[in-house]
Amino acid sequence: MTTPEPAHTHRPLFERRDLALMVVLSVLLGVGAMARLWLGPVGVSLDLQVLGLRAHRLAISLIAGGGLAVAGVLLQALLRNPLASPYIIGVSSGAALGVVMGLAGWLTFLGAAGEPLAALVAALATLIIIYGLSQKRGWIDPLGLLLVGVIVNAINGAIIMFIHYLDPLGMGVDLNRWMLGYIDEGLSRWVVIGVGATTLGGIGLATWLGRSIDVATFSDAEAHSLGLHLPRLRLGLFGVAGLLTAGAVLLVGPIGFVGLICPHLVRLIIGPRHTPLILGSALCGAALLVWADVIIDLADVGQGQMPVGIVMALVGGPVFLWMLHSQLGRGGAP
Amino acid sequence: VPDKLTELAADRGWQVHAYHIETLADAMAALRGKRDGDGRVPGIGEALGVAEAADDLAAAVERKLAAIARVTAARPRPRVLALISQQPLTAVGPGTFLHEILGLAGAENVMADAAAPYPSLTLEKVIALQPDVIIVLDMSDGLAEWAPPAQLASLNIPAAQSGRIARLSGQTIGLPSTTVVDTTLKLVSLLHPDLAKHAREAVESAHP
Repeated sequence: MTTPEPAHTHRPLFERRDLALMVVLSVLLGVGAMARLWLGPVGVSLDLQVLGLRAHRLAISLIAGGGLAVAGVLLQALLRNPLASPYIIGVSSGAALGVVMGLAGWLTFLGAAGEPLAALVAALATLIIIYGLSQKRGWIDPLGLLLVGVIVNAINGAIIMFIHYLDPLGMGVDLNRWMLGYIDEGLSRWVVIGVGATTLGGIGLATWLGRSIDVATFSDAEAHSLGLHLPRLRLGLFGVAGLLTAGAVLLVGPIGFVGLICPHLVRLIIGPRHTPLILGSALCGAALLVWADVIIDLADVGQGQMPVGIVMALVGGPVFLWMLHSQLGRGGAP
Repeated sequence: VPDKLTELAADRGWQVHAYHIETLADAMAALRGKRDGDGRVPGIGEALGVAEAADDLAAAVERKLAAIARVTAARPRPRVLALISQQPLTAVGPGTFLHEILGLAGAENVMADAAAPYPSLTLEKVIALQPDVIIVLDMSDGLAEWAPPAQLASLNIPAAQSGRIARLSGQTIGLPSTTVVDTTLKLVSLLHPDLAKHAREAVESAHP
């Protein structure tokens, strides 16, 4: 049996390889942001208002991409399952259910806070149900967790469709398109700022707890022996993962693959240490969504604005399959 | 038509006819029937045994629409962006009955050259289109309080600067049916308010 590395060693938080990757991701993000700000439809002159609209879209992409990627890192670590992501295990559809209840006008008594609050509560409730049903005496069956997640995802989807079925015309939103995921330009800047601040706080907290998360990936007994209070950490980080997912869904709908692809891509390059992994994934997620939005503008297929969720699935799906294939037979996850 | 339904209909002696309705011509063809390849698709009226009444109804709808078009023909046509969804912004494009009745109501659809019947838009695209009027087609019950969408009202476009962002509400406005006459009259009231009474009278006089 190998001895786990102590939680608090004098190893530096960031190694040279971590910093190099972050520089590369920052450059990618920066170039994407510039492209997002400068490129646009033909016939639009770049004035302050247009720049403001593009900056608004850019902010939404940055926040949602970063938040979803970090939520993916946290779920993979806490559930000890490399295939866990907000989209696959149903946390995104839980948050979407909360938003749809708001869109259907069921939460007007909560005022402007209705949709964000419902998204958060539904995302957390989904996480609690998945965690509760897939663990026995503290041990989580990885396959069982995925199956529970898939089923809960289907149930959330069915409830969303039921709400739409009850009042198909009264929702004020094209639900089919919203469910594909798109960057909602109509969101007030205060919602974007609020979600942005919350996301930044969540990513900051997760980064601060990076070394504890490293320990939490060992067995419960090992983690306890290293002085980690696992239940408290899990509770806190589940809350953060739910918060990040709810915020992202509020901004861009339930899009997939960001929370799955980015943690794996970054982990492939810099390894499993969570402090750099969280920051790297946040940068990777933000860059991925910003570039997806640039592609939407460039790839006009005549049907108007393509939902960003389609781009993510078309790009993210094959990338994940490639990563999965390259790891097959090594006895490990991607 | 699903194969199973065709089989079931054949067993039970039911008639099954399928109508694809996007344009006004499609809607009228559904009433009257039309040739389709080698065969003929009977109209709804014919299928129900009231072919003559259906023909009359289709002719009356066409006459009324033509009467409205005559009233609005001489007026300058405002450039109109008609939205069927605000989240995401989804517009009325060409090849649809809504595009056609916009024209009859005296408007120029700014999305007339779009490649899709109902394309979605970004706010930047709305700025590029510079519509004179934006009409939000609200197919819900229309009972809720309404205000011009903030993201549109703040844009540097003629429609926002002149406050011409309006809602057209009603459950039937999305139906390519005989109700298109009412919808067209409502559009005239929004686009050319001074012609509304004249258009209504023209419709009444077109009634047999």
